[in-house]
Amino acid sequence: MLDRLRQADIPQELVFGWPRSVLLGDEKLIVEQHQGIYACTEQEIILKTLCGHLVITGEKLSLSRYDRDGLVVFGRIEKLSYRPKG
Amino acid sequence: MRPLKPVRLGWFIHRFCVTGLNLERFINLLSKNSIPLVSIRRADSRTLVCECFSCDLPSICTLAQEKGWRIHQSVPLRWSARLKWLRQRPGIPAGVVLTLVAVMILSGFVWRVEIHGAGSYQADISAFLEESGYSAGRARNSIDAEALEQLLTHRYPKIAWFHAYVSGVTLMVDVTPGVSMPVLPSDIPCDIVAARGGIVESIQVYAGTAAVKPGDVVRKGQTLIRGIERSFDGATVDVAAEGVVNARCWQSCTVQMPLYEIESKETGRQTVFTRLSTPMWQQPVQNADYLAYNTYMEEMPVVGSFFPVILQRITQREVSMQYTSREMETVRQEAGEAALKRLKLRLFGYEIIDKWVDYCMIEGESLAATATGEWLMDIGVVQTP
Repeated sequence: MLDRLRQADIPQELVFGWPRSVLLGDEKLIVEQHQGIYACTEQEIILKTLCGHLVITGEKLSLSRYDRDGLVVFGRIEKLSYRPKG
Repeated sequence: MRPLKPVRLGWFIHRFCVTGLNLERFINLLSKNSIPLVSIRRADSRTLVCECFSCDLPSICTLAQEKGWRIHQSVPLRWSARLKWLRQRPGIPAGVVLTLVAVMILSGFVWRVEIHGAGSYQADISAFLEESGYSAGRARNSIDAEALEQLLTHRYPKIAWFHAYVSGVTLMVDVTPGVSMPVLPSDIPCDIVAARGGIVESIQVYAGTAAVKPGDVVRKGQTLIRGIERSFDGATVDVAAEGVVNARCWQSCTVQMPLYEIESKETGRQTVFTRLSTPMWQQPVQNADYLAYNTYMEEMPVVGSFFPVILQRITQREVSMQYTSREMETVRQEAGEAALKRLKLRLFGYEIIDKWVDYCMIEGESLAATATGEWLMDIGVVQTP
């Protein structure tokens, strides 16, 4: 299946609903195809995604332009990691 | 029937605080209800500070109330704040609307009348337009420019044409004065006479018989070319004389200049007055009892007065007058220059071929400088019968 997608040149994240994250410097993170917020503090924001919980760690974190399709995280981003579901 | 989708404008934003437990669920609930948030920031463990589009605020409040969260400190931002500010001051939008309406209404009238190129007719045309009702305050659409042009053309026959039109709130009247018709050569027998005195330099006769020859001194009005020609059988025929008579002409201008000047010197005596003055009224003052005096004035606005009231401090200083003789050479130079300047002004347009200045003393009090210029011109003019 994956090989076929690669051959057809179709973005996999669109087919599987994977989250798509774009980190601009250490100040802005654009996340698309998330499934909601799990936790939100100034030091840590946890987003629910199909791949598990996306943990964004940093300082003075805030959310912007939040809607069903995507969101933008502002602040000083130090770490991005996945935490397995469960 | 599907409810109408709210129009979300980026300029209209509200900020609010939401307090309660599991605030992440609140955000996800908004997301499920397709309500976007512009910004989310954690204030403390049980409070979030959010920004949303102003049109979504009622839905957010309803959802929060249903599910047990508290919305408080709702503050309008950007244009929403301005809108709120304006709602609290209904006089401002009303004033703006009234001003716009007033401008729209007033722009339908003419408030200025401009007349261009009328020369000596300027005042008369202005008064006539005033009398005819074409003045400030007349409605623009009631002005028939063509009728006005006809009216003016009928009243001023010496004006070539008028162009009247309305530009903005100004009635413009362009005036083009007529140029008098030049005297055209006719078949009526006539002579050519001298328009001014001079010495004939050259003469070219196209029709008629020359009455003068080069070198002759002619006076104003003297016949230069007679309107008579002799036919082959010896009989004389009357013709319209035609030709060019170039002559050297002279013109003099005299300037008289006194050899003394009056010098004033302050004696030291002075009187000071203070008075109030406005653009319409001035407090009268009694002038100092001096034969001659210099007046100095200092003006100071009266502080705190909205009306233009000025405090004037007038100082009158007595002066003595003395006659002082001037240097002869300076007076001579000034008089000569003035006479030449006056001559050039009088002969404007002609090419001066020679000029000189003569001086003479008048009763030892003044010096007269006479500048004389010589130039070449066609002095012949048709003498109409």
